[in-house]
Amino acid sequence: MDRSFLSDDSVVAASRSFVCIRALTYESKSEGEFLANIFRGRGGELENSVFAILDPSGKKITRGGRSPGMVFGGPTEQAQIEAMVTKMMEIAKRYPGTDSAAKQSLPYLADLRRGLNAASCDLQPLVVVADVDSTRLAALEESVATLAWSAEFVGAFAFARVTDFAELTQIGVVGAESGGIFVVAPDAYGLEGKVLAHADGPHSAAIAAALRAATKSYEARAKDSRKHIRKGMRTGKKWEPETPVTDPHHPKETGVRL
Amino acid sequence: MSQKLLILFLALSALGLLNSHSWAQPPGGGRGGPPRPERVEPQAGARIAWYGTVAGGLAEAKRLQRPVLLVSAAPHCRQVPGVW
Repeated sequence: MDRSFLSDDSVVAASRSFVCIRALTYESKSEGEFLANIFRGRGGELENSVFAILDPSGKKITRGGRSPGMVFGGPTEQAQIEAMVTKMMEIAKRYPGTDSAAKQSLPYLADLRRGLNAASCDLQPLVVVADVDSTRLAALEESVATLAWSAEFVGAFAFARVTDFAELTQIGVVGAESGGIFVVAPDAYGLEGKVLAHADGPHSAAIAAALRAATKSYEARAKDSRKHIRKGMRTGKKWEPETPVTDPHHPKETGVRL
Repeated sequence: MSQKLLILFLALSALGLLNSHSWAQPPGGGRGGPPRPERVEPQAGARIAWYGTVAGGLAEAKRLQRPVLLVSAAPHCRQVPGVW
């Protein structure tokens, strides 16, 4: 993924006027079809990464590409970032939104398993919003959403929803018997998690305190991707994507040794 | 001899052959290939807040009438999770 672009301060600032979607490639057939319509590689297949800017109805405004650098050309990476930000600001003016103060919903991942993996990739904690009762869950989501988009916490966590506590057991979190939020630190491979903080109900102050406590105690550890992959292969840390990986540049396809 | 090598190098460069392998791309992705395996450091400072599904994000974009910054990435490499 194109970290240099997407972590640049000016890009992050410009992103606040957008709805930002980061789909997980090869994790949904319907999403795969949507992404392949945005960009296909030379072989006509969906590749590992896709990038584009869309209008509010989901139609392309920029051309699609594999990365921001591919879409926003320029002699240097900095020039490409500046071109991207200029374009984003121009588009944000064209689509100012219905109400700048409108509350955004929680930016969920598809499920707990994928949420934990994405959080691990991003080296950040995962907030699991959990309850078996839909009314209580809705109240919880309302409170968490307000905090999730606040200046203090925006972008700091990944989010997943759970309506069956057995799901938590599957990632190594045992003993969860009542609803609330569980702020979970993913392990290096995003397969298991450890609870950093917990808040019982939809009380904003308690949830904010849990988020702060988790932020303080979470230790993000840098990863050397090459070593991570080698060790993962050696120790059987395996991810089964939902759909076949069709990227011709993928290491498995190219035979590149790690 | 060195002149011949120089000519060969320039010719291959012009044809793009010296840079055609996907893993010759710089970290963070490039124009034709995937990101090269790299060291991933914790990101300091502000971050983009991502919707993790196309359906969830598009529904929100439609509701709020806001444009969409769309990215996709596979959360595994060689089927090993925990890395984009």
